[in-house]
Amino acid sequence: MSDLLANLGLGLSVALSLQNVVFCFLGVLLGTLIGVLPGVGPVATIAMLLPITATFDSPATAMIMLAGIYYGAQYGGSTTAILMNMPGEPSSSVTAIDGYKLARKGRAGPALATAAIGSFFAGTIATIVIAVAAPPLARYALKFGPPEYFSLMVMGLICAVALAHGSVIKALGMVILGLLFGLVGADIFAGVDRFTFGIRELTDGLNFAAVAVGIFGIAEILRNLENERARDAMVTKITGLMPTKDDLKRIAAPILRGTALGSLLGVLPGGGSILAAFAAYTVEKRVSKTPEEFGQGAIQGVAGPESANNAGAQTSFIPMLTLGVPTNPVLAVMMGAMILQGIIPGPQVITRNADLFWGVIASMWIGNAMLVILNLPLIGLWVRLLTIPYYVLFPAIIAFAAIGSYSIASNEYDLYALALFGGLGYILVRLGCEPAPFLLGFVLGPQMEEHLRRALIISRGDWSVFLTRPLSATLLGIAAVVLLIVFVPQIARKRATVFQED
Amino acid sequence: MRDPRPFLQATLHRHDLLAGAIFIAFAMFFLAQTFGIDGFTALFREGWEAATLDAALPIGTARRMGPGFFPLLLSAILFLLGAILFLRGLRIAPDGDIHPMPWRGMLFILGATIFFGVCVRELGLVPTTALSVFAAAYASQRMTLRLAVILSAVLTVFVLAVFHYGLGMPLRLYGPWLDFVLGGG
Repeated sequence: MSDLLANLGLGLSVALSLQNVVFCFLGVLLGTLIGVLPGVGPVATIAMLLPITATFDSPATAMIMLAGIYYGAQYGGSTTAILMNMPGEPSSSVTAIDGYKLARKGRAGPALATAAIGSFFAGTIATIVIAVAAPPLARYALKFGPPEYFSLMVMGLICAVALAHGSVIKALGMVILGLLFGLVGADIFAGVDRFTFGIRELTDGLNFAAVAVGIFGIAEILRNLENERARDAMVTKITGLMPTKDDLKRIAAPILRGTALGSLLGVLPGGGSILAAFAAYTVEKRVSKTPEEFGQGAIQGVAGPESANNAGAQTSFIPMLTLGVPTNPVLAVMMGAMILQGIIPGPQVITRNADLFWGVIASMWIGNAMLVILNLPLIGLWVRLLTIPYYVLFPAIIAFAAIGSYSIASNEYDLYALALFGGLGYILVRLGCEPAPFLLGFVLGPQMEEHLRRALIISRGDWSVFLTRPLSATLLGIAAVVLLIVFVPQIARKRATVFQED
Repeated sequence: MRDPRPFLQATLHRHDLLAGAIFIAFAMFFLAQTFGIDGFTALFREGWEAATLDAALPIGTARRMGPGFFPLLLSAILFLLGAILFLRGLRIAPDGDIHPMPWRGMLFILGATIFFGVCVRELGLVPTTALSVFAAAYASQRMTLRLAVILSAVLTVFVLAVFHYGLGMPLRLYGPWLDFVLGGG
């Protein structure tokens, strides 16, 4: 307990330094902005900012700002979900169901306040959950050998596949494709150039930021240009923010349940916060005495999912910070940011970079408080942003993407990668292949190869090492079960409805 | 990230066929690179053993993995997945993809990005940014000349302020191609 307080104290002292407070604020501000604007997601934004944060002298500051963008975007996404039935982020699509109905009934204010209160409460609890759960997990992970790491990565990637939209085969293919592209460049072991066509500039591999911006940012612009529909910014007027006493009574339990569910499901690989939001909505509907209200404007249907997705967004940092395994594309990009700063993500971060670790965690709590202050009074301003036409927005994204990618290494091949993965990403997404598994594979490619190589050296080439070590066998067992489950027709159908619900 | 839209129905047969073909093509690409020409001919003439010995990226053994080992493994899996998709795509299903390809968007946006890469070193940051943004803006059918000029000017100034003056990144503002115009040498 005293350890926990000392650690949180260290974290607060880092997070409350003037520089970090300013960048945390910038992060959540930018996050809210892109959360509100459909068509610009946190993955592309964070990837575009990598070159800027790489110039920061303190890795903690860089991570604090990038993390702020992530949970700020979750927050902004709910605002548009409630006011305009336009979820800025996938995880807020659940909020839109009842939130928009409430707004139509003239209760937009209480719905927004509920989202804010729920998110803040969930953020506070999730911060404590990370602080309590991460150190033991990291200590445990220090005992992992190469076989365990390899199996852990297999499990993480399989879970990500299971939780991707659409076809499992396609998602698996995207993981493998990502792993393969991750191998481009000099092989760490033998130093042999692979898949570079003798181009010297590719020896260091494909630039991570360029690939991420291409496949998440450029591809998204192309999708939006398919059909240049006018954005009708029909905004409901907001009258009276504060929830009534009755509202408060009704949202208390859903917030608690949502927080618990979110904290738990957020740790799972593959988009924990989206799953958490859906699960929380289902639970609230199930336990409610008046389930018929759901879908017609039940405030519990906002409170539960909003708390869950915010808690999930935060606890999803646990596997990345303690095991070095990102659970979703945002964290894959964050991991890229850490590597750019010269920090190898893994169980040693918590001890070797204690100020970074605890600073980032404490900043989440501070950032959540900022979000409440930033959002509730300024909601009118955010909504007005939606009137910006897309044809003004996307050239700005292109400009930032191009200069951002180039400035990392002054390497023009990064621009070609940007164009290639933008075009390829668009085509693949259109064919029903999700980009998220690709990016996770891309980040993990070199490490997976390294762990496989070392595991097989230890076992003298015997593949059974992955099954004879208990932990490794368990992890692979989980992966196998998950894979079997998604192929069971009944569940496959259920999964299809969960992920394709509007 | 993005809103789920109805056209993302993943089970339409033409989508499966194409996705399968793309996976197979990439698998072949990485396989060919791994084996090289010598390894590939050896694969057909002398079989697997000889091919792994002659591969451009040495395959090695499980105990001593060469640089070609993991790519070979991955390409094989990708090939298999692509083949399954392709076969699955052969069944008859209604095609629900109603959106036209955004050819105009692809041309201007990908073109502007490549242009930026080709020119930034020789032309310098300022003219390259201005021209790229101007070109990219025309990806939208609603773009007007006036708006494109304004966007190009405003974004170039903004980018210059952030990356050059703000972050002090060592990017050349005007490149050697402009020396004769600017009178430099």
